[in-house]
Amino acid sequence: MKGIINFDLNEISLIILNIVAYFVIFLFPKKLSREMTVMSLLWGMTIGMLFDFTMGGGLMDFYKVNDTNDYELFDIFYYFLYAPFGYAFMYFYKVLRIHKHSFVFYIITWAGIGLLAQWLFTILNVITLQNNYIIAYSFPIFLITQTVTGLFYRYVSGRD
Amino acid sequence: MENTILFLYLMIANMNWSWFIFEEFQLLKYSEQPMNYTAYLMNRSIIVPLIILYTLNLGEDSVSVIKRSIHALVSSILLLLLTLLSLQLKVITSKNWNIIYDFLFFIFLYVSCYLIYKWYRSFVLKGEVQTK
Repeated sequence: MKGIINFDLNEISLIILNIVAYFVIFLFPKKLSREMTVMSLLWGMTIGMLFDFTMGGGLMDFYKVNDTNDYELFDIFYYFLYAPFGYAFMYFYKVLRIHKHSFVFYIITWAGIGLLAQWLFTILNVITLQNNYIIAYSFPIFLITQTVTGLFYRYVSGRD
Repeated sequence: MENTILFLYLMIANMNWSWFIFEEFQLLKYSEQPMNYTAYLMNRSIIVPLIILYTLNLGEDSVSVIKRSIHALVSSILLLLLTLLSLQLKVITSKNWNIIYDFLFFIFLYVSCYLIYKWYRSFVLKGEVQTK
């Protein structure tokens, strides 16, 4: 594990994005139960880490997080940034009263948001694509993860 | 829902542990053969968390500490056998590693998971009741 290699754009962006994301969560009216809030934050973080550790490392190694392929201190900031996405997904699922017919559109919208976020992270040098990987390949992955998340939320929240 | 939270915690803990010992310190090496590598991923992300979670679910809150310790010990031995099987089948290869460290880590996972469960019951669920 490495500390901080270069303190530049990606590190500053991660600090700002984390502050903004968690501040927004704090400001949102509390619509989710405490149990659901904990679960959504942890869910977002775990899904992000699962794909980073599987696709961003190991045999596939499709992208580099921050400055090196090694585990860095700011990688932890990056993983913490996944948690608010999990929260926002379940929060808006409830607020927008997503049902069977709007489910598909909601998932596609979130897959689009995922692509936009990934594009932003490449611009900010938080992630660097490698081994011929392009952002478009992430779209089906987002579709699968968001669908699983949506179905899981429906199951635990008892919605039809 | 508490089982989901515990499962997610176990996944995070085990993936990070694996990352450190395989990628950072290179004490163990995973196979580069696709099927074996898939087996490694499944063991890392699904099998280990599931077995520990299952063991934790074996006992109700009233189960004695001794019985709980036996559960933890038996599940850690089972996971250790799976590690030995992985070594035997060349899913992973040891470079500079003693599997006793794996055993200690499994015990740590079980204990930390139990403590998170206790925290969850006291902080999250009780807080929920108070706010209702």
